[in-house]
Amino acid sequence: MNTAKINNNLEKYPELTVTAVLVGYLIGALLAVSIGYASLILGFSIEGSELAAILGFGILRGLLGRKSIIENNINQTVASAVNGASAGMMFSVPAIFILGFSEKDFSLPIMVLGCIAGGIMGIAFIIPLRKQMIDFERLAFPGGIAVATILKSPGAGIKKAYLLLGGALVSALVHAIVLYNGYTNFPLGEKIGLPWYMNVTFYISLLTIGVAFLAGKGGFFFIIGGYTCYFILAPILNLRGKLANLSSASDLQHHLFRPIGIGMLIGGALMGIVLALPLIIGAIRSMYQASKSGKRVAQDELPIGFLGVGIIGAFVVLLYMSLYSAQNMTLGRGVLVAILGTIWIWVAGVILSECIGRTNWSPLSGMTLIGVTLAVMLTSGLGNKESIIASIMVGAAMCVAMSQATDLMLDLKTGYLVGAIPRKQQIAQFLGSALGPIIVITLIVVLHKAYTLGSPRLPAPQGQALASMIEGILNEGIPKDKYIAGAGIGALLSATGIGGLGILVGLGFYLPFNIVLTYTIGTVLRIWSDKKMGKNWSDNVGVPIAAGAIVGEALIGVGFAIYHVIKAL
Amino acid sequence: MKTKIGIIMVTISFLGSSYVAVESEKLEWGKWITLITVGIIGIYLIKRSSKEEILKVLEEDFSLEDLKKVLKKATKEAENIHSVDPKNYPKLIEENLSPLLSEFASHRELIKAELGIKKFGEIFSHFAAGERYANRAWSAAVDEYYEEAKRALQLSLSELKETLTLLETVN
Repeated sequence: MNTAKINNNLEKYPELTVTAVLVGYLIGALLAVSIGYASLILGFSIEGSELAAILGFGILRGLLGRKSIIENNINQTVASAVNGASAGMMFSVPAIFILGFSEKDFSLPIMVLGCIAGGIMGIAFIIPLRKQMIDFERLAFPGGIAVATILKSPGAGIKKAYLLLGGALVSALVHAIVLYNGYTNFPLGEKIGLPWYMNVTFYISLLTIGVAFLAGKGGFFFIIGGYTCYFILAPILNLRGKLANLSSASDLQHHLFRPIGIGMLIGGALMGIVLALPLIIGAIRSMYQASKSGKRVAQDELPIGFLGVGIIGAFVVLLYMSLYSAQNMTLGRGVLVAILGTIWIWVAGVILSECIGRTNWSPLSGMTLIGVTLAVMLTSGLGNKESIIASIMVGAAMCVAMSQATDLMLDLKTGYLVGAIPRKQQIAQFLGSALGPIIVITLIVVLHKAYTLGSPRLPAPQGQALASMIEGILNEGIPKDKYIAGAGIGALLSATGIGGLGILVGLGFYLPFNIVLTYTIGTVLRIWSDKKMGKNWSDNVGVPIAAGAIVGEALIGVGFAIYHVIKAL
Repeated sequence: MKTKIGIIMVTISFLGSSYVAVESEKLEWGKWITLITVGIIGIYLIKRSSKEEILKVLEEDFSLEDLKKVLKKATKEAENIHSVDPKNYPKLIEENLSPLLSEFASHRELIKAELGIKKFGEIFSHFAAGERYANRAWSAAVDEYYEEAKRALQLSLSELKETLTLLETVN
C-alpha cells in the first residue's frame, strides 16, 4: 500500500511547485529591476520570458537536477508576471513625478495595491479569452512559440537545438553590433533616392524577422496597413500638396497615421468582440458546464466565477482609487471612471492580445493613453492637479492590467505547446503579479530620489511622452475626429469576418514603418519557405532558427539592461 | 461573383475613407460617411455570398468528409502510440500524430463556414484539449514521467474521439 503510494508520488509530474514559484520570483525580480531601470533610460521595455526560461533551465535542471518542462514553464510564467508590472508601471507612474508632483501628493500604498489589483483583474478577464484566442482562433503568439522552443529543447533533438543556438548566436551578434554602434536603422530609401515620405528605412533587427516568420500569413494584413500609409496615402497626399507642413516621416506617423491607427485598433476590437460574442459566450458556457461535469479536462480551467470576481474587483478598485486620489472627486464621477475603466481594461486586453497573438507587437502605450485620456476627460472639472493624479493612478492600474493580460496570453500559448494545465499557469500568474508592483514602485521612488525622473541622468522617455500627452489633452484637446474616423474604418474591416483584420491594419497604421518593412522580410521568407521548401521544412528548420533569432536579440537586450544597472552602481 | 465585388467595394471604401481621414485637420464627414457606406454594402454582398463561393475565395479545397478522415486517422494514430512503450512517444507523436492534428486545425475556417460559429466552438473546444494533452504526453515522455505520458495520451485520445463524434453527428 505504502509502496504504491510512494510510486504514485514519485511519478507525479512536477508542475506548479514551490520551487518553480520561488525560482520564478528570483528571476522575475532580477528582470523587473534590470528591465525597469533600462526602460527609464532607453524608453522601451523588453519581454523577459525567453531569459526566464533559459535561466530556469540552468537553475531547475542544472543546479537542482529537476526534470520537468512544465515546471520550467511555471517558472517563466511567474518570472514574466513579476516583470509584467515593470512594462505597465514604467510607462505610467513616472509621469506623475515628471509633471512636478512628489510621493506626498498621492498615496504610494494605494498605487501599489491598485497595480496589484489591476494585474489580478487583467488575468481574470483573460480566462474566457484563452479559449477563444488559443483554442479556437489559434493565434500564433510568436514570442510564446519561441519560449516553447526553448522549453522543449531537451527532447527536440540535437539538430533543432543547433538551429536554435545558431539563430540565437547570429541574432545576438547583430544586435550587439547595433547597440554598440547605435546604428539601429538602414535608410535604404535615402540611399537610392526615394522621396522622404515613402519612409523606406529598415529597422535592423533579426528578432523582428523571426517574429514575422513565426506569425506567418497571420501578419500579412499588418504589413498591408503600413504600406497603405506610406506607399499609397503619403504619395497621394504629396501630389495634392497636403504634406507642405510636415517635414519628416516621424511627423507623418505622429500627426496623420497614428491617431487613425489608434481609432482602428479600438473600432476593430469592438467589432471583433461583437462578432466573436457567440464564441465567447459559448466558451463561458462550456467552461461552466464542464465545471459541473467533474471531468478531468474541466479541472484544467479556473472556475469561470473568477471572471465575475474580476469584473466586480476591477470596478471596486478603480472606484476606490479615483475617490481617494482626488479630494474633490464626487461619487458619481468616480463611478463613471470605474465603469469606463473596467470596460476599457477588457477592450484593451482584447486589442493587445490580438495584436501580440498575430504579430508579437503590443500597442500598450496607445491603449494606456486612451485609458488615461478617458480618465482625464471625466475628471477635467476637478482642477489640473487632482485630475492628473487621479488619471495616472487609475491609468497605472489599467496599464498593469493590460500588460498582465497580454503576458499571460503569451505564456498560455507556450503552455498549450508544452501541454501545461491552464489553471496552474493562471494561478502562477496571480502569484507573480503580486510581487511586481512592490518591486517596481520601490525602484521608481529610489531612483527618483537619487537622480530625479525626467533629468538627463534618468530621462524616462515613456513617462515624458505620457506627461506631455496629458498636458496636451488638458491644453489642446485630442484628435477626436481622427480617432472616430479610424474606429469606423477598423470596425468596417473587422466586419468582413477576416479574423482581426481591423486590428491588424490599424497596427500597421500605428507602428513606425521601419518595423513594418523589416517584418515584411520575415513574412515573405515564411510564405516562400512554405511554398518552395514545404511546411515540414518551415516547421523543423525555419521555426527553430526564427525562435533562436528572437531569443538571441532578447538576451542581448536584457544583457544591455543589466549592463546599465551595473554601470550606474 | 458577389464575394469579389464585395471585396472590391470594401477595398475602395477602406482606401478612400483612410485618405479622407488623413487629408486635412478638419475631417469632411460627408465624404467619409459615403465611402464607409460603400464598404457596408460590400460587406452585405460578401455575407450574402454562397458557402461555395466563400470557400473558393478562401482557397479551401477540403470537404468535411476529408476532415473527418484526417481526424479518424489522428485518432487511430493516438491509439497506436498509446499501445507502445512510452519511451517512444516523443518521436511517434512528433512524426505521426502532430502533423495530422495541424492539418485538421489548418482547415478550421471550413468548419466555421459549413457548420456555423457555435458548432465550431464546441468542436474546437474538444479538439484543442486533445492536442494540448498530446503535447503534454510528449513533454512527460521526454522528461521520463512515463505514467503521466500514458495518462495524458489517454486523455488526448478521448478528447479527439469526442471531436470526431461531434463532427459525425452534424450530417
